[in-house]
Order: sequence, then C-alpha cells, then structure tokens
Amino acid sequence: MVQLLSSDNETFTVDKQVAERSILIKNMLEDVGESDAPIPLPNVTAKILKKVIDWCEHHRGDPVSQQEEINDRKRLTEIDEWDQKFMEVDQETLFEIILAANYLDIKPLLDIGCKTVANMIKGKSPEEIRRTFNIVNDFTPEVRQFGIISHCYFLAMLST
Amino acid sequence: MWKVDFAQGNEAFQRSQFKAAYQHFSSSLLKDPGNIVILDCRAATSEKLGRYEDVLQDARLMVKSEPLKARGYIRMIKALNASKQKAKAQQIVHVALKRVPVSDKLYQALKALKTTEEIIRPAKNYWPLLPTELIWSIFCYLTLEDRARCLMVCRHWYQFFINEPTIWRTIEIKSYYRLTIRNLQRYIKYADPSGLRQLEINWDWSYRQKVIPLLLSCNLSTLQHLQLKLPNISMDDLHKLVKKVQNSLRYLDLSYSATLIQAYVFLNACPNLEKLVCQECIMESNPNAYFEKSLSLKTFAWEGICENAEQLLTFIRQLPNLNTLYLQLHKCSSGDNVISLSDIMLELPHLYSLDLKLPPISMPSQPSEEKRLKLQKHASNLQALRLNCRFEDWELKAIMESCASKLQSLTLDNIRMSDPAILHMSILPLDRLQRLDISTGHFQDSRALQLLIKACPDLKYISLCSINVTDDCCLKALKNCEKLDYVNIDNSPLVTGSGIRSLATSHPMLSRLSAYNCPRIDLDAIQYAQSIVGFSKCCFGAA
Repeated sequence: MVQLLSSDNETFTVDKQVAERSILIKNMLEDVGESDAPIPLPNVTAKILKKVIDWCEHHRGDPVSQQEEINDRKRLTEIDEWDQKFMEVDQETLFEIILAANYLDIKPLLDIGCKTVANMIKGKSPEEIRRTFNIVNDFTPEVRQFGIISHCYFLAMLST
Repeated sequence: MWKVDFAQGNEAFQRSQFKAAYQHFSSSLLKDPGNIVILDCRAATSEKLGRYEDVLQDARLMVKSEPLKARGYIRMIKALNASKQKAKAQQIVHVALKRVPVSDKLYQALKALKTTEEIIRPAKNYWPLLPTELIWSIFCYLTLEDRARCLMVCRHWYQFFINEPTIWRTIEIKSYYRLTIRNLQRYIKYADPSGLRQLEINWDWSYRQKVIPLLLSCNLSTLQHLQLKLPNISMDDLHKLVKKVQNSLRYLDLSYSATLIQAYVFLNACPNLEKLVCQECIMESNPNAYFEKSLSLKTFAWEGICENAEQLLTFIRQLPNLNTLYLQLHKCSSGDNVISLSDIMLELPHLYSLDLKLPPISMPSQPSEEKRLKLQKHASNLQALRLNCRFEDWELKAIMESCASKLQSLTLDNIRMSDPAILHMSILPLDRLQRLDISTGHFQDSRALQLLIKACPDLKYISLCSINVTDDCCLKALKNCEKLDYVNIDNSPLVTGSGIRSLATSHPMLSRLSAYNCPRIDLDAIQYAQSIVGFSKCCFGAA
C-alpha cells in the first residue's frame, strides 16, 4: 500500500499497483523506496486526486502501452464507454484532470482527456467553439473582415 | 380500463385543454397506479399548467421506479429550473448522467441540459490553465477541417496555430472539402518550418488539376507519406515531383493512376520507399517501364490487370525484401500465360504476410523436390496467409508445414481441398492461429473439419460460412477454444439447435454469433442463445 497526500492535505491509501499507473509515483518509489510517510502531491487537489485514483483503480489491469511514435498523429478519437462516462464532468474538472494526468505522468489518462476536449471542438463552427469554452472573440473588425475574405469560401462550403 | 381515460387525457392535451387532461390522467392513474407512461404524461400536463411542485412529485415517482431511464430526471430538472432551483437542478443533472446508460434514447437530451446549465453558470475560459504542450496534444487530434475553423476562434488560437508548424504536418484533403488552392498553399506554408510529413489528395477534389503546380512550388523535402490519387499526371511533372521528395518518401499511394509507370519513377528514385499501394492499376508492358531493384520496399499492395504473367513475376523479382504482399490479379489480358501460387512465393524469401488472389484459370504447378524445399524456406516466417486462388495439395502442405507454429491468421476463400490435405493440416502445431476463415470451402465430411478445429486452441475468430458439412460436432469441437470471440456459421444446413445450445453455453461472452439461414435450428435454441450471448450479438434468420 502507498499513501498519497493531496495539496489540501488529504491522505489517500491505495494499492501500490494502482499508484504505479503514475510514472511519477513509480519513479519516486524506485528512487526513494517505500516508507510509511505519504507521498506529497502539491499540484493535485483532493477532489481531482480522488477522480484520478478512481481511474487508476478501474484500469489497474491494463497492459502498459509501449512507447508510441512520438510524432505520430493519432486521429483515433474514440473513447471507450467507461472512460466517456468518467470524463463527463464540468470543464474545470476536465482541465484539472488533464493537468493532473500530465503532472503525475499517466499517459493513457492524459490521452483520454485530450481526446475529450478535441471531441468538444470537432465539427463546431468558430462561434460554437467560443461558446463552448467561453472564449472572447478578440479579433478587431479589420481582422474579422480579412478573415472573412480569406476563409469565407471555405467556411461557407463547410457549413452547407 | 385505464386506457380509456388515458386516451381522453391525450386528446385533451392535444387540444391544449390541460386542466381536463390532468383530470383524465389522474383518474387513469387511479386505475393503474405507478404506470410510468401515465405519470410522464401527467407531469407534462402539470408542466404546461406551471404547477412545478406536481411535476416534481410525479418525476420523483418515475425516477424511483426506473432509476436508469433519463425521462424522469429530465422532467425533474426542467421543473427545478423553472422554479428557480438551479443549484439543485445541476446536482441532479450530474447524478442522472452517472446513472443513465449512454444507450438510453434520451441520454443526449439529458446531456444537452447539462450544457445549458453550464451556460447559466458564470462563464470562464479554462484554456489559459493549460501549458503549450498540452494544448498542442489536444489540437493534434483535429482534422484539417477543424484546424481551419479553429484559426478563426480568437487571436490567441490563431497565433498558436500559425506558429506551431508541427500541427500542420499532416494535410489530408477529403473529397467533400471545398478547400481552395490558396488555403492549401497557406497550410503547407504553416507547416514549412518543421516540414510537411503527410499529404493526402483524393481524385475527386475539385482543385486537383492545380495541385501539381502548387506542389512543385513548395518545399517537400520532409514529406514521408504521399497519397496522390490523381490520374493523368504528366511524366514531366512526375519527374520534377520525385526530385523533391526522393530522399524522405517512405509511403506512396498511387491508386487510380491508371498504369504502374508512375510507380516505376518513384521506385527508381526513392531509396527509402517502404510501402507502395496501387489499387485499380494496369501493369503494362512498356519497354521504358523498367526499374532497378528496390531494396527498401517492404510492402506492396496492388490490384488490377496485367498483360502477361511473366511481367508480374519480373516486377516482383525486383523487390527482394518484400515482406507484405497484397496482390489481386483480376486477369491477364493475354489470357493463356497464367501463374500459380508457388511461382509467386518462390520469388519472395522474406514474406510474413501474403494475400493473394489469382484468376480462376491459373495453371496447376508441377511438384518437384527442389521447389518444395524452396517453398518451405520462403514460407517459414509467414504469420498471415490469405489465398483466393487455385493451389495444389502439395503446395499448401509445404507452406503449412513450414509456417504452422507462427501462423496467426489463415483465410482460404472458395477452396477445394482433399480431406487428406486437411487432416494433414490438423496434425500441425497450429498453436498460434487466432483467425481461421475457410468459408465456402468444399469438404467431403465434417470429421476433418472437427480435427482441424481441435488443432487450433488459440482461435478467436472462426468463419465456417456456407460449408455444407458443418454440423453440431464441429460446434462442440470449439469448446476448447477459450478465447473464442467471433463465430460465423451462416448457411449451414446440418447445424441444429443442440449445436447452438452447446456453443452458447460454452462461450457466453461471444461478441458475435452469426447463424443466418440455418433451417434446422429451432426457435427454442435461438431464444436460448439470445438470452445467454445477448440479443444484439446474435444473428439468426432465414434467407
């Protein structure tokens, strides 16, 4: 068993196998060995850490994927049903899970997070994307005009 | 009984007489308490009347009796929203999304409620939280179409996209994209600092005529993957294009480009070309159609017609390191000079995947000890084999003896094989065979088939479709294949209910069980199989 300490000082006790889905924790355990003292994770709140542990529990038996070609663009945006449900959270939590997966170095969870956000962009018009993510349209009127000239044909055709 | 009131209620509701409708639904409910359909209608009526407390009460009953359905939750959330209890509504959206399975009809509607909820909440843009490399990994999942739209979202994104050349490394133009040549040029320019890696252009893109001049004006020295499904490229342009990509190119798809001549130009010039795909291509005999041996090419996929078979063999002889060959020869236009399976295999010493289709009138190959030994040597690394051609027992025997312990997938289309040849296969160590497809094969009786199945303990996929001799004993022989996942026994006149029952009992986790047009399977057995394997995973039916 391994103890993890969230940024807001909550302790979680998890199986070593589960905790080692995180390469950060795995390396840490290899470097400093196991001890009774909890591992501090100052970048992750208890709320997010709990979600991440849930994910690791569910995927504890998954084979560790081989190092993929880093430059290979992965277009496959399919996500399995359990993960899809897991990612049905508000945007703040979603982005925080992505950050936590990145910090804890859990590649498959990071991939699912990124795919979820990419799927929120896919097929949407710029205005819909802005609305989804609360992004302000800060193009000046002149730039907008320019943008319309250069892209209007393309976009008009896409939307039909 | 309750139906009379219910119908009256519906009628009143249609006429917007909601108070009357409410009365009718209530009296209907008295006769059949707890009926969800009536509850749902009464809740809808209360909603129209603005009596949100009543809606909530009915919705609670609905959720209680069917906690996995979305409709009760939706009524509840709408009522809470309307009565200004937004925090509570939001809470219920989250609970409901956890409980209701994605397959529910109204799941999407429920999800939509969640987004409307979010719009009500104070809007915040969370993108600034993410470091650049994470934004990059998200944008990498987008297609060209989506990337083009993202350029227009805001100044920050625009700057991000045009300054991140690696995002534009892949440009694929589907036929429905009305992308202009000017924008294509722009996107290639965005990619330029780190180099374009992958370019796919389909033959039905409207600007295909202008694309070659554009490509010739771009820097393509990093292009690795080129799919250029364009007929009528002039040889002159082609030579210029090859010069630009010759050192980097690894993958080339020239399907629909009419003849293989274009491919020769690339084969001669590109020392790193590993994969060549040419569908719908003619292999012509042209004195200029010659290329040096290509040592780099590992995969060749070709489908089309050739003038004579000798030419095909000469072509393959120039590719000594080929390990994957997909060859579908529809016909030799000269007709008489046809080739056999061993003619092809004898040219290729390193194969591990072969998918071969030859015209049905191919020549029988005469056995010789020398041929047999060479064939065995060349087949020793085969992992996947698919044959749709005539072959002799001795050929298959030599190949199978040599690759049996490595073979993972075996497909024999439309074969005529003697039972001794199958019996011979079944004594081989086919331990790693995962996929076996011998559909439409001709066999004399089912015993050889049973032994073959018993020889493959690792099977995941089996197709025995349209084989006249498949019977219950064959299905029982599948019992030992623990990993079995897919079974197809369509058009098997001998299989009965007993075989299906034993298959369903031994393999309840199948992801597909197809037994279409098997007239002797009784209804009881079908229902039994559906109840165990799952209704959606079974396919029964009659022709």
